[in-house]
Amino acid sequence: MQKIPFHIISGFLGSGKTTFLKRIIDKYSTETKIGIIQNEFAPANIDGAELKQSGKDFNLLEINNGSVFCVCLLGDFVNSLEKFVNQHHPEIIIIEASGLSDTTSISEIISASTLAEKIYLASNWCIVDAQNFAKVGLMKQRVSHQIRMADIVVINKTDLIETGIKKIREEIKKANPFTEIRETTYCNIDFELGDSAIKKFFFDEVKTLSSPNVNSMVIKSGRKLSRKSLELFLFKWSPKAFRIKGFVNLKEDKTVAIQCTFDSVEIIEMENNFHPTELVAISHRFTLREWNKSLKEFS
Amino acid sequence: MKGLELIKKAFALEPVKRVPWVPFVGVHGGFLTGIDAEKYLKSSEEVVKGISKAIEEYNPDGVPVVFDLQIEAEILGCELKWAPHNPPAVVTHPLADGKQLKDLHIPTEFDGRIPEVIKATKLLRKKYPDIALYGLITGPFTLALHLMGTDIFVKLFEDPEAVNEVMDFCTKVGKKMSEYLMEAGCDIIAVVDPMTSQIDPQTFETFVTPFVSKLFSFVREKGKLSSFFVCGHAQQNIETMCNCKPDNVSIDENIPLDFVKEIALSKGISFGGNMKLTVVLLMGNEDDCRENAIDCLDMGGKKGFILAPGCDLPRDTPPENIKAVTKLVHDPYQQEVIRAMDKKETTLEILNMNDYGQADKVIVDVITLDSESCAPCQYMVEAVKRVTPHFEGVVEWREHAIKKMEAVTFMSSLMVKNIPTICIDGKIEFVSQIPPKGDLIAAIQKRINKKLKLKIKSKRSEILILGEDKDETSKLNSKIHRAITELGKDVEVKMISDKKQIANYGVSRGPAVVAVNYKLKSEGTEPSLEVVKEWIKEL
Repeated sequence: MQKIPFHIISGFLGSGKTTFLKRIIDKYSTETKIGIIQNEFAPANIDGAELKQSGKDFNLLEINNGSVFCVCLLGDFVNSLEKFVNQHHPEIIIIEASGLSDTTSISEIISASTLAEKIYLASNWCIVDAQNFAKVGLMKQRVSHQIRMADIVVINKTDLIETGIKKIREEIKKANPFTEIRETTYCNIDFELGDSAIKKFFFDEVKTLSSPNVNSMVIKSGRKLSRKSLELFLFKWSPKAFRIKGFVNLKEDKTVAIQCTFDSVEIIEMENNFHPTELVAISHRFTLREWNKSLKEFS
Repeated sequence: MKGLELIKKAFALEPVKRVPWVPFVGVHGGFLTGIDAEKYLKSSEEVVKGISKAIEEYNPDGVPVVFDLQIEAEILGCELKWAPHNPPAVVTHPLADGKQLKDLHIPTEFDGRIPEVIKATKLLRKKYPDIALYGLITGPFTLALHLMGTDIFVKLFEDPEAVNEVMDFCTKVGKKMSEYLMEAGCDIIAVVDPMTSQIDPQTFETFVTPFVSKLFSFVREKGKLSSFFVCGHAQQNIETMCNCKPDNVSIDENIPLDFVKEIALSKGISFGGNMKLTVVLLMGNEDDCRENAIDCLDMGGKKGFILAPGCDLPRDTPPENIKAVTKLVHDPYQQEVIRAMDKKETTLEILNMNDYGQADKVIVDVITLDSESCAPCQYMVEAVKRVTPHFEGVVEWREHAIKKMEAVTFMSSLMVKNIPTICIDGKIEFVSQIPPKGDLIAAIQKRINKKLKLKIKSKRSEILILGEDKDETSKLNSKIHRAITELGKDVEVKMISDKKQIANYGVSRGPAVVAVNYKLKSEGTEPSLEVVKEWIKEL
């Protein structure tokens, strides 16, 4: 059985996630069976209702029972998602994650539970509202951890501000030096059903990506590595992975952002970091258990 | 030492012999007694049943009475959506839906589910005087978010005064709640404010610090202890949280424990956490849980640290997983084993032990940490040492101290998981507990008997009757059969009449009898040359 690509679209309320989703549904729902998950920490599920009105064909799973913001609620999320997958057999799943949700934990959980046999994490998008991002310093905290783990950050509503895009780009790069940044209005951007984040590195392998043995893996750990052992660790695993990315806390009291593809390892020092070591990998040549064990060996 | 006493020591940053353990049992209590989250959280009786069961099963040093951050919100007019596997979720926010702050009243002890919480606390207090009871209140920022909805984030900069007013109200609610809970018998008031993970330190200092600080000093005035619970990505706020002067901070897996330890201890505050809730406790197995627990124990250390899950345990967490943690917490030797295994696991070679214990003698292996430094190990080794002379050379014993690599390999190959363990001929017989002399002798004797039986069984005998004359051989045959029957032996009789075959046995004139003894030496494996030579020598 082919694995179902799972895409995360995060961003704060009003940033344009639903507009983006609508565009995706419009474009693909006739030929592809789309499963949408929504979890919004809002009075009522306005967005859900809005999507349903579009008249297009897709399956919707609404997580109204609290927002997926706390790891203690994720267990139930896994159960609902598993039921949803078994019932509707979507060919692609997109979660619209509210501004309060923890996208790293969502990634970790779909990559570790029994769901990992059916689903893999294909891409992680974060939509940023240019107008608000420029205006609101206070919001940065909440948006920044979603930006951290995003493959693509979309700066939306660029028409609403005259200047400052450059500054927003800098801020985003500061939080996540390897992310791809796209600018747009009305979320008018292309969405790739497959794995956009990988395609650019790995043209030929994209076909194999939804093969049954592709695993997406997430490690969240309090352990630290020395710079040297991090390099050894990455050189060991990157040739076997489509991609490895994330943030690692070093024994030298620094944090680095890393990005690896089969033939390259990039390490960039970060200014400051308030997170545990977080790593994501996609590979069909090793498992989370092996990878985790190896990280422990090097730490 | 009793749990409450131990926790008080940890809170006072006094070194402890054993790290206190506080499994945050919320609706998981209902799972233990087969009740859904809604029934559980609405009934003091069910809470008492669930927590009692948890205390019985998990041997904790402290427990929360009720873990539900929606109790206050419900009374203040937030609508709840109940779910069978989770605490309820707030779905409406009165201050966003037109209600005014002046319309809201501080809950009394008779409102909503507060009477049930108070009742449960009183009953548990009476039943378990020595266990620390945590009374949980909704942190002011999280309660404010319940009341205002996500508008609060916009209001933080557009209308800070309004936010402050709501925060002030929520703090008064918290104070009242703490009072009810302390009066009912709680030892520790936990201010649970997960939503603060969504703001940066400056916002925290402006909008949260002035309010929660009041709560902590109120608890202190009442002579009780306090803890500040947060979950999510709140690492940026840890220092600011400590500055609010709680007695303890408790965090989840999103914050590295060593980071919290450093800051908390430097501020003279104890800290707790941060076992992984979902990936490990809910979805992992017992090994994963032990591994994660040992990581936390080693990082946390024995001063000021309380081992706990990152947050409210998911309802359906397998009890075996929590029990595995409990056992580990109470068993320093098992902790050593996991550390030793963890270090060496990756380079470990697992031996094929299928043919182990097939020698004539019975081999007793005692797997220890090191009988010199581990008391139970020492007693176990002595027990074996005392017993073996009874068997006068038939039994041999050896100690395998896993501080040495070979011993770890040996231990893993025999699939031994606990220390100390006695294996008899490669089979695990006694785990952790020192067997009484009689039991040990009986177990060894049983093995000797079994071996003897095997030995007898492995011998196969045949009697061949050789001869061309049928009359002669059949006479002989019936005689031999009679002898076999009278002796009760298991012997096969074969008749050979072919001249050529008879000649093969070196027989020239019949009738003749050849007795053959077989012994099965190996089966299904290819024995080494040395081993085959040994067999030949026996002939």
